[in-house]
Amino acid sequence: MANDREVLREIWDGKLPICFQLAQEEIMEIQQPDPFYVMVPRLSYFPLVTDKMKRHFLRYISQENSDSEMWLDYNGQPLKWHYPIGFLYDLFCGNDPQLPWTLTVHFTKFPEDVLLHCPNKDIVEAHYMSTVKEADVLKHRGQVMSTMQKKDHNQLWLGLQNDKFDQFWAVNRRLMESHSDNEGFKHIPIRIYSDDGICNQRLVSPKNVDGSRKNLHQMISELYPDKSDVKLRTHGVTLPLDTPLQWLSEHMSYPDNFLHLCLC
Amino acid sequence: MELGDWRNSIVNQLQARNKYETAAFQDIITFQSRLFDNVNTLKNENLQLTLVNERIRYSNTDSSLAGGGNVINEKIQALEQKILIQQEELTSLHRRRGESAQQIINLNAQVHDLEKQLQAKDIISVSEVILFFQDENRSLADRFLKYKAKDADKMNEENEHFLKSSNPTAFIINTIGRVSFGKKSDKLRKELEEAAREGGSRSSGGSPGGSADDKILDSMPYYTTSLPNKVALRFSERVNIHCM
Repeated sequence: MANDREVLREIWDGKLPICFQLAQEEIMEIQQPDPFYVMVPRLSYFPLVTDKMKRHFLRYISQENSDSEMWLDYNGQPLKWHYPIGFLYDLFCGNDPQLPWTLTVHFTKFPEDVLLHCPNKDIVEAHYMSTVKEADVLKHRGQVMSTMQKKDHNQLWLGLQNDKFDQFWAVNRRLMESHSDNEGFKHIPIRIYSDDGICNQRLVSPKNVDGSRKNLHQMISELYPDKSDVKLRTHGVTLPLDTPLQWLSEHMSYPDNFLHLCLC
Repeated sequence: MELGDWRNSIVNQLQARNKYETAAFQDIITFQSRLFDNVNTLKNENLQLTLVNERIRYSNTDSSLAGGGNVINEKIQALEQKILIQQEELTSLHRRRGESAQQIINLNAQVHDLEKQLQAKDIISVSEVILFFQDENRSLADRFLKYKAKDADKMNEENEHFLKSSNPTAFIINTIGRVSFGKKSDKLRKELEEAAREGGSRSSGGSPGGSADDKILDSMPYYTTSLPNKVALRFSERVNIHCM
């Protein structure tokens, strides 16, 4: 059970200051556009927080590009909108924090081979819900999501979209419950990313073979037997290696119910 | 659930994270966002005000052209119209003056012609009148002379007749009465009658001898010598004076 409300609240309240700047080659106005500063929830997604920023920069770009899909990059690396913002920050700036996080806004040259298209927020919602379902399949064989009503799914999504902690957790807590007698999920929904952004998703059980709680260290040993001195970071936190996976999954999963951990 | 140091570590890190990443920037970003919104609002307002301003200025200049300026324009147009009309009038007046001057010249010439004609006519008529009167005078004079000559002839005839008769006094009286010279002639007639009476007495007692003519001349010496000749001369002189 995700009952450590303090941790949940701290994670939820995490926001990042972001400075959006329009790509220099796309400015069609004589006057340089002001950068757009905004505090964005770490748990949210870029398409959910960039409406105002997009409107701001549309005035400065060529009219023919105004209907093009906007995309972002950090230091020349396109940012995948289907990852939570906080995770992207940890991935790119975890070792070298740079705040405000300065991102470049593009309206042209969409990197088709890197990014998924995101024409509207429904796509984000669909992606989010599918990820939640995937996580639920890993945890509860998908029983929770399948027994939920449509309004619960909507509440989950709207709670995230509107930054409503209670609204979100009223539903999400059910996804964090353990169903079997021996406490814990069937599997831990976890994705581990190397610093080049490559995702490694394995089936990870919250328990060791002997039935004891598996902690991070044990998991790393299983996943990366060759590597020593592996550190994992999520939510801007370098995780203690003795943190139990079950607790970690219950409290530090992103709203999509996955643990997104960065190797560092 | 057992909570170890890892949990404290995580919570501490999360709190530090939120302090460093969120709290440190929250106010300034919120403030910046507000300023950003304000700037944009003001920019838009400014733009709209500029547009309104331009529109007002445009409509002002327009209305000063169409309104105040229109009045001026209308005035200018009215004045221009007046000037045009005046100029036309001036041209027509100039033309009329030219025509009038020409007329004056023509009429002057005509007057001169008429004066000349008149002068010529006067000269002709005067000379004609003169000639007419001269002719008439001449004819009258001729007639008078003719009558005078007749009278003279008659008188001579009477004279001769009288000389042949015995009573010369009666003859004289007859002759003079017929001629009738007025008071003067009356007086002369009386004188003549007296003289005839004296002469008769004298001739009756006169000397015999000589011819018949001599006898008449002798009997009335001054009568025969003076009377016919003097009268004849006097008549002709008076005619001449009249004619002049």
